[in-house]
Amino acid sequence: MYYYIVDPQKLSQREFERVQNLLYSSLSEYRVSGEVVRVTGLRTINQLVENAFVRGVKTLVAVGSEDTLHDLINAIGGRDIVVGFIPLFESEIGNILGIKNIEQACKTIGVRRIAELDLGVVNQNFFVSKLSFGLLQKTNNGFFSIFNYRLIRSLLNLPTIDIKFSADNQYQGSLKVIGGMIINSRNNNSADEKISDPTDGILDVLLVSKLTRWATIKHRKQILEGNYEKVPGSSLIHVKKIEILNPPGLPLRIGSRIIAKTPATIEIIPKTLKIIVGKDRKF
Amino acid sequence: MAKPEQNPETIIASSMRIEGELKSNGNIKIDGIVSGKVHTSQDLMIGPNAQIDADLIAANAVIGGVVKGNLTVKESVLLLETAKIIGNISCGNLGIREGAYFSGNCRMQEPKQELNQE
Repeated sequence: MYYYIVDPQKLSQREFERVQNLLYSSLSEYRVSGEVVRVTGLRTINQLVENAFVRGVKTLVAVGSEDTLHDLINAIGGRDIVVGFIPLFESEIGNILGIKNIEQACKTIGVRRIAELDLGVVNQNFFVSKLSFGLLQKTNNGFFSIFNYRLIRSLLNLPTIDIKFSADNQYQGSLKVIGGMIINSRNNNSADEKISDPTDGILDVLLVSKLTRWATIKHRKQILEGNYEKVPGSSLIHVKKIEILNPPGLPLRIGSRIIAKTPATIEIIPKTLKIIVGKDRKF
Repeated sequence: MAKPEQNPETIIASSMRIEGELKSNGNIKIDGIVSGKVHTSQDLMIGPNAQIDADLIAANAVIGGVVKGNLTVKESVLLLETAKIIGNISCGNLGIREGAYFSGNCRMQEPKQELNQE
């Protein structure tokens, strides 16, 4: 039985009704109908997931944004169930999973191709994609943003973070960075595919050192797109567990959402998430 | 001879300092400061600005920086002009460019004699 948890978030009522109609018709067309419930102020994702477990649901589908999917995965908390995702907005995770829009997502659910993905966990919070700190994250209109004077100025004035970490309980590292990423998976069209495999049981850590003004301007596209490995002077290490020891209080984000602060322990739990993926998945 | 790796899997940039045992199954490129031990089953490249105070184990190695420690390499080692090695080297093949400094013992595997049937 399918259990769809719909989280309309920023959608207007009119837009939501349009999306809902499309969702119902697609579910029916691909014969994946089930119970559809909506997140409200009184019915949180946690409560809805618990309801689903009580009813013996076998497949839970997050319908909404990446935050909806992350909230759903955290509510599941490692329990054995198949997860699906129907993105209502532009989504990096959707692209990683090979899911583009509502119709195609419903078709994918119908095909039911299941992959076992690694899950990153930071201070008890699970994540599928990547954790970042420091640097600003890419905008969707990246082409225009790289010529944006205010953005360039903010890149030039980024504060330096004196970071200290312990990796796999084997070695300690320290350096001055302007930002970094701890990657389980990411949507990288032209970047190194080895850094984005969510089935390799490894977290890839990219750290960007402080650059000269000229180097910052020259490599702003790579910085804004998160392809830090293409920025000269960046470090790349691969770990199963990393503890960020210093500085204290450094916000760790998934997208624009802060989910933890340092000191934090980030680990990978291999092949924990059973999720429905499309044939165009990136791994 | 080992070739400098174009796309190494682990990169320790010049601003990074590592203390402990760095292990990898992929290639490693080090431009920073490392003390402890470095172990890879693939290729190791030490950049000209690197300062290593560690024993190094790799399949192939290209050394351009300062290494204080023993170097154990299964296949080939190349010491570049900027290399400074204080320690022993054990390897299959050794190449030393003019200008490199090496102080220590070197032990190489004896080449296998091919049987000549003529």
